Amino acid sequence: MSTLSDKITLNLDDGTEVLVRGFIAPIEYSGSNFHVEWDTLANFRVAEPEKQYPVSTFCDFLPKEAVSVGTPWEIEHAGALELLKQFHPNPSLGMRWDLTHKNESQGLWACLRAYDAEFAEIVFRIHAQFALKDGWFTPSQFTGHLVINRIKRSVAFFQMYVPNGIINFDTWWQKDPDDEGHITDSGFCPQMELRAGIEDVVRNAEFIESITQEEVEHKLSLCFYKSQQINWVLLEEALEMAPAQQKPIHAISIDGPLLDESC
Amino acid sequence: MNEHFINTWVPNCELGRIHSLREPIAKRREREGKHFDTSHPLAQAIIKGGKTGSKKGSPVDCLVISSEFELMGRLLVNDLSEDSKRSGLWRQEYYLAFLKEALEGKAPGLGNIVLTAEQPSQSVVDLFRTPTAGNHQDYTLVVIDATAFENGGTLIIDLEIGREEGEVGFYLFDGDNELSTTEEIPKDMLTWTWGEPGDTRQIIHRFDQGQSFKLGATGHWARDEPCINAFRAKISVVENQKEPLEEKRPESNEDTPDVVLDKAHSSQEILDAFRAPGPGYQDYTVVNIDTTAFESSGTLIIDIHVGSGDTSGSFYLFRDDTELPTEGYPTEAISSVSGIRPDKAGKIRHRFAGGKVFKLGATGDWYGEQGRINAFHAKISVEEN
Repeated sequence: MSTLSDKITLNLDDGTEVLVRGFIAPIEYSGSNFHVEWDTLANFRVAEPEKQYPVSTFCDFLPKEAVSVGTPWEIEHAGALELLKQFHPNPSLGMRWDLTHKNESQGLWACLRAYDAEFAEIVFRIHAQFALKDGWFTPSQFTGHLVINRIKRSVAFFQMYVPNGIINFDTWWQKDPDDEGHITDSGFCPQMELRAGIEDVVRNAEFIESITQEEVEHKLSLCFYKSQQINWVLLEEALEMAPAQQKPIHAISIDGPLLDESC
Repeated sequence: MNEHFINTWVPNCELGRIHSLREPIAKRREREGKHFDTSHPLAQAIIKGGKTGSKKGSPVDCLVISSEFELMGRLLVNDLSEDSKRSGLWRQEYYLAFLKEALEGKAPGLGNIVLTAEQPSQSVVDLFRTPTAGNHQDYTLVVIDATAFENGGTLIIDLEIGREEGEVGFYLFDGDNELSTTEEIPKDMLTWTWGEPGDTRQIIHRFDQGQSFKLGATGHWARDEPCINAFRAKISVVENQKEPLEEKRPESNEDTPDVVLDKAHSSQEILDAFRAPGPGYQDYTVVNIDTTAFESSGTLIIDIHVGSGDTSGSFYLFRDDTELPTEGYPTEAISSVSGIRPDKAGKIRHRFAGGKVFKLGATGDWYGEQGRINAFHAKISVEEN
């Protein structure tokens, strides 16, 4: 891997359009069976399976200034919101509307992962939720890639999706419309995705500079959670490391993932 | 955190702790050809941590586990806000204190009821339920940490059973016991009692040195309809004195009165235990009562409530200078109430002129099996004449 000192500018030419396909698969499971008992969730499907976007929508994902690999920047809200509306007409970028003190997890961040003369790959992470007619639906996160053809200044590939965690959404159901209270559940949706272009466009690219997918994901998660400054390791890694290093284990046992919005 | 710990986290559903998700996640794992190993000692320690103590239902457990995979501490995030407020610390400070205590071997959070000489009694309200899936027991656990009582003591658990449907068995175990859910009668229990809705019961157990206990409450396995009911347990320890009980009696506590009454504090309550002495004998638990602050005259009133253990109690009031008899009827008693049956109450009234020191002797009756123990509660007051 080369040094991260070189900065590049990222641009898209206006005037063209990008066709984006959207998918929401039926929810596979949820802890309290909301996906069966609650019609809104049982019938939660993509609002627009196909939609044309002006390239300007994707310009909001680009940095305003030249950037180097591994340095995150904030995404403009407008483009992200437009894309999220393809899933459902009422997206919100303000998280956990009842917890006014909890704003740590809000945000939209992107980071240049790699580039060569022809392509630049941006990885992003967005936290958003959807206002349903009788509740809220909060995916764990939206992550994805935006690959830009630097020569044509066009979108070569775009993918925005909810990762396949063991639990990947949280939901609130206002079961009784006359009652201000709500009940909660979490579960797994196998596919929630927007996609445009050809995925393997950069498969054989020999990047001038790059960092790994894991590195970029860690840099982005640091933008959302202070607790990511802790070196969290997998359970199996802790099993090996603790006796080898003679260190005690600090373990969190939690109903959903620690480092996303599905819990 | 990075310097002192290996840090990890795991979703409860991966450990099988969210019952409703076990089956769908197992199906998904099978389809994807993946397996989550919960058999190794770290996963087992985390699972054990979730079952430690009676407090359940927190969506987030924070655990400290040794490099040999032994539990060192547990903190429930559901309790963090309230507990930190109670202790006057910010949540971050409270969490840091938890981590430090765990590393110092204080095992925070691993015993739910921590009894000490300063706080010898605590109460718990919880639920028990009928066992299902062919099990004979489905324990709601209360972990009782009585390790502070180095010389041992008497553990007294006063139990109240809720009014809903459902009988309950309360079983007391050693704190290190792994509890079985399949034994019809738990073979490792120390003692037990059984009750029906609305009943009050008592468990008494003597121990020789500080230790932990587990109190398990479970519904009756043979019941046709599953049910859930509430219970309340007031858990107390009466500390042993440093000398053996037999040696100090009957002339114990001669120097330091247990109860000192004056005009500002004319009433005091005590909780203690007595035991059956065997036919013809006396084996007094002595409570010294100092009323010398009432220089003119007064009436000493002792309201006594006997616990629901297996023996009745007799209570005798003596002058301070009386040598208490160890056998025969206590003819030198100046007032008494005898033969108070379990769960019943009695009263002693004695008028005195000029403040005095008295001895209240509590003993089991002659008809109970020798050595049987019961608790008593006494409210001791003086009304000035």
